[in-house]
This record gives sequence, C-alpha cells and structure tokens, in this order.
Amino acid sequence: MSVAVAKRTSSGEPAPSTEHRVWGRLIDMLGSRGWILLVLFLVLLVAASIVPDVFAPHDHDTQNLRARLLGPGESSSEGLHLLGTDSLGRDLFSRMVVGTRLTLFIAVTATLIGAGIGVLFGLLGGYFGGRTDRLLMRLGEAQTAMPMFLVAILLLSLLGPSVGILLVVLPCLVWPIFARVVRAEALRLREETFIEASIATGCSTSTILGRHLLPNVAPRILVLCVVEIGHVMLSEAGLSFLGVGVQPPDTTWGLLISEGRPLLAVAWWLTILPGVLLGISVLVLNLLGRYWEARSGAAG
Amino acid sequence: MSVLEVDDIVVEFDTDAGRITAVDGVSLHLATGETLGLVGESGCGKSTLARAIMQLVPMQRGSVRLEGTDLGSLSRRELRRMRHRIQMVFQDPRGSLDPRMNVSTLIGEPLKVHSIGDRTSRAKAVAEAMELVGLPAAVADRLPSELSGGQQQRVGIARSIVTDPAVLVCDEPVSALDVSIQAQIINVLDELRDELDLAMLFIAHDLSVVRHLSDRVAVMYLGQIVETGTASEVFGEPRHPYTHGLISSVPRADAESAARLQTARRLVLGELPSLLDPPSGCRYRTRCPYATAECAEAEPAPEPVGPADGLHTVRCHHWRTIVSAAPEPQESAPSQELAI
Repeated sequence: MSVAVAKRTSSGEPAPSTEHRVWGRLIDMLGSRGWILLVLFLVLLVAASIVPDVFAPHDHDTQNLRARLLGPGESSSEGLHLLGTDSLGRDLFSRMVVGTRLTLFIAVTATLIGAGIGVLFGLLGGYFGGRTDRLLMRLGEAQTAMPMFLVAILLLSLLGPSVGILLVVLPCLVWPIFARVVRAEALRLREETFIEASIATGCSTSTILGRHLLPNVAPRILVLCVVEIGHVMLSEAGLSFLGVGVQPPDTTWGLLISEGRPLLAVAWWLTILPGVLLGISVLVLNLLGRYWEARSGAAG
Repeated sequence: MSVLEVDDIVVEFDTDAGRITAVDGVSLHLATGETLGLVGESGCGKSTLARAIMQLVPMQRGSVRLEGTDLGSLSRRELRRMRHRIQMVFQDPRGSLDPRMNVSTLIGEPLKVHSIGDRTSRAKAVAEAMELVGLPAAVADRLPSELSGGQQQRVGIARSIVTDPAVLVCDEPVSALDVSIQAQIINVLDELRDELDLAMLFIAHDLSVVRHLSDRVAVMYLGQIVETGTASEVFGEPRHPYTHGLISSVPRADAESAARLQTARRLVLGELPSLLDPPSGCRYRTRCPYATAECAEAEPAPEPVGPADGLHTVRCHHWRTIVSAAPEPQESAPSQELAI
C-alpha cells in the first residue's frame, strides 16, 4: 500500500497538502490488510441497525430510576451496564445500538439523494459546458456560499423538525461537492476520442451520458459517497444537537450527545461515548474512501 | 452514381491566436465500392475534413450529401438516425474505445443505438463482425486495455462496419500502430471493402499505404486539395510540385533513392506555413521552387489535366511548364512494398 500511495503522489499531481499527507500516513499505517478492519466495523454498524436486539443487552427505552447515571461498567438490578446509564436509568450502550439505525438511514439516504442531484448536474454541466454549465455551477456556488447550517436551522424551526425535512436539507449540503467532482471528470472525459466515436456511431446524448460518461465516473462517485456519508452523519448530529434535527423518542447518536450535554459535569460518558462512536465512524468512512481512491488511482 | 458527395466545404476554428480556416473549399465524391485516398502533411486539415464529413465539427459553408441526403439539412435526431450509413475508424484505437465496455458490447453498440435487430440477431452480427476483422471469439469479454493495439483497431473497424454502412471514413487508421501490424490492418480494410462494397475515404500520410488501397487519390495542402486523380495518374504522373515532392520523399531501397530524396528536398522547401496567416495566391508558393510573381497574386483554380474525363485535376499556375520534371515511371508492386 505504501508503494501505491507514493506512486500516486509522485505521478506529477500537484504537491499534496498537509491534509493529504496526514491521510496518506494514516492509510500507510493501515497496511495491506487494515481495510478489512474498517469494513468489519461498518458491517457491525449495519448489522446493529438491522437487528439491534441481537446487540443491545437491555431494552433501550426501559426506565429504571433506581439506576440513574450509573457510570460505565457499573451494574444495576437489570445486570451490567457496559457504558453506564442516563438520567432516566436507560442503558446507554443499548441506546447507542438502537440509534445506529436512524443515524445510518439518514446519513445514507441523504447522501444518495445529494449524490443523485450532484451527479446529474455535474454530468450535464461538464458535458454540455457553456450556459448550462455556468447556470448549474453558479447554483452550486451560491448554495455553498450560503451558510446552509443556518438555513437548515431556519427551515427546521419554521416547518418543525422531522426526519423528512432532514432528508431535504442534508442533501443540499452535499450535492455541490458531487457536482464539482463529476463535472471535472465529465469535462476531461468529453475530450476523449471515445466520446466523439460514440457521437459518430449515432449514440443519443442520453446514451452518452448514461452509458459512457456515468460508468467512467462511477468509481469516483462511490468513493465520494463513502466519505460524504461520514460528513452527513456529522451534520445530522449537529442539527440534532441543536435540537432541530431528530426528536425523541426517536434517537440518533447526535441526539444522545445532545441529551447528555447538560449532565456533562456529572456524567461525562453520556456525551463523550456517543461522540467517540460518531468520531470513529466518520474516520472509518473517510479512511476507507481515501484508501479505495488511492488504490484505484495507482492502478488506473 | 456517387454515394457521398462533398461540395465546397469550409471549416473555420477560433484558436487563441485567431481564426483559422482548416478546410478551405474542399469538394470530393465517392462511388460505391470506390476508395479515395487523401494524403497530406500533418496539420493540413485531413482530420478536420473527415470530422466535417462526419458532421462532428460545424461547417461554415458547403454540403455533405450521403446517398442523396444533405446531412446539413437534417435535424439532430434525423442526422443521428442516418449515422449508421456512414461510419468512421479513428486514428487512436485505444482512445476511441470506451475503457469500461467489453469487446462484444463495443461492437454491438451501434446496432443497439440504431435498434437494428433483436438481442439474438445482434449477438450473431457481432460474432460475424468479429470474424470478418479477424478477432478471435475468446476476446469478446475483454476490455480494450486487455487487447493489443492491432486488436483494438480491429474492434474499432468491427464497430464501424457492423451496421453495414455505405461509407467508411478511415482517419489514419494505422498510423498509431506498429509497422508490423499496419499491413495486417490494411489487409483487413482491403478485404472488407470488397466484401461489403464499401465506399471508403482513406486518410493517411503514408503514401505507400494509400497507393496500395486507393482507386483515386486527393492531395491536400493547407486546407485545399491541390491535385486529384486516379492512383496511377497521381502517382505515375504527378503534376503539382507538392505531389511530386511527396512521392519523391518516400524512402525506398534502390539505387536511385538518394537522388529521389534530393528531388524531394528541392521540391518541398522548409516548413508548413501557419494556417493563421496563409500565403496569398497559391498556398504552396512559399515552399515551391517554381514560384513566380503570378503565384503570389492569383490563387490557381483546379484545372483538368490530360484526358478529357476530367478526373485528374491540379491547382497550379505552372503545371504545364514543369511537366518535364516528372519522376521516373513508378513500378507497380505496392503490396510488395507494404510487405517490406
């Protein structure tokens, strides 16, 4: 792997930024098998969101007022609370397991919606260029320039928080990123002879976009999706933390962090542990995405 | 009856340095089963002409008629539907194939986009096309990157003939290939033309290849056709000093080789002028040893040479007087020449 990364950076691309070097070093540290651990972690998350009961030792919603704010490792009459309990005596680990489903669902769905919009706009802008391109890209820039987080808060507080609105707001945060990457690829690809050959053959524009351009940018899109799921997860947590995202009794990691915040001085685990899980998840998604990118970059 | 008629095409481009006329009033025609070889230096506008005929670059003037239909008058959709009758083989075999499609998908794509046949008949047509161009059935599932350059170009050719077109435009189809492979690909094209009764526009800068394949030849210089005629006329009795120079510059393994190259150096002086600022009058005058004041003033029109059938034309004010400079008779064994 170290060879692959070195090759990528020495192949005439612009000098890597500090950020890139840090990621490169992290990926180097993974070694050739490290990515299996990353995938394993994701598999666990997905499994936890499909069958939470298998992983959760306690019912996530059962209150036990005699076992309030137990620290990690302490036990109550119900048994061991691996990560402690909250102010209503609910088992934190079980709540984190159960929160995985909605956390992942929102992050994945919002990313896919954003990717769909971004890929479409990016392909159209990159392939047609000219006025279409300028219009779509200015739209993306305008949106990037707007403090979307504040707009999201405004929208959610006007319309009332709901998962549905999160799925409208969060894709807005990511589509310009997809649009930019796909547009750059489409701009490069449309100069390739095989696109001219497709036109000469008689392919329609939709065939060229869908069957020639899209498959050629698909690997990049996949990598970007993985990375962006992590970012969307963070944004959702941020909105939930501010109280405009997911509402109880639904729960996500972000909401858990938010619920624990007032008790930070007496029960640090309620905030820190879901935060650590969120942090690790985002890191894993980033590493995996960048690892794949580095590997495909070196191979092709 | 001409299957392809190109009339007075002009193609202009805007470049950073200004506007250039890459193709300046080119007319040509092709009959069924006939091959026209188009030769000229790099940058003379051959490829642009091919792209204009294929309607891949916009023309400022002129018309392209395919089987009687003016391609310029068609809507985008109608043009797209016509495209299966005129297909193109590209110079860069690897670049002209989608890197993510396998061989059978690539060859079947033209049939699919033109809705020719159903799934089974298309698969059969693909297998036939692969056999025609000499591709083993085993490569059907491979990606272009897993093929050799020669195989890639065979895929490109199979793609272009699978819809049974009337006209095939070949834009330097062998110049990116190893010399050892070139003859094979030329032979594939040669056989296909006879088998499918194709009208072929064959563009190259290699004269021996053109001579082997072509019935007629057109010589292009700075966007214009300076001489055209049957292959034996143009190669046997070149009238334009540029044609003469081109022919003399082909290296051959014989005793007169050195003398011929001397002739070539005398006939083609210096570099190709810039298209940004083409010479006044005759375009070739800046490199022509016979140039006179007249050449700078008036642009020569194509004049018929010799027999009254009018096929052999030349664009030169002085072709009558420099006729005596004709080269020694050309021995006719082009296929042997290729095999060397």
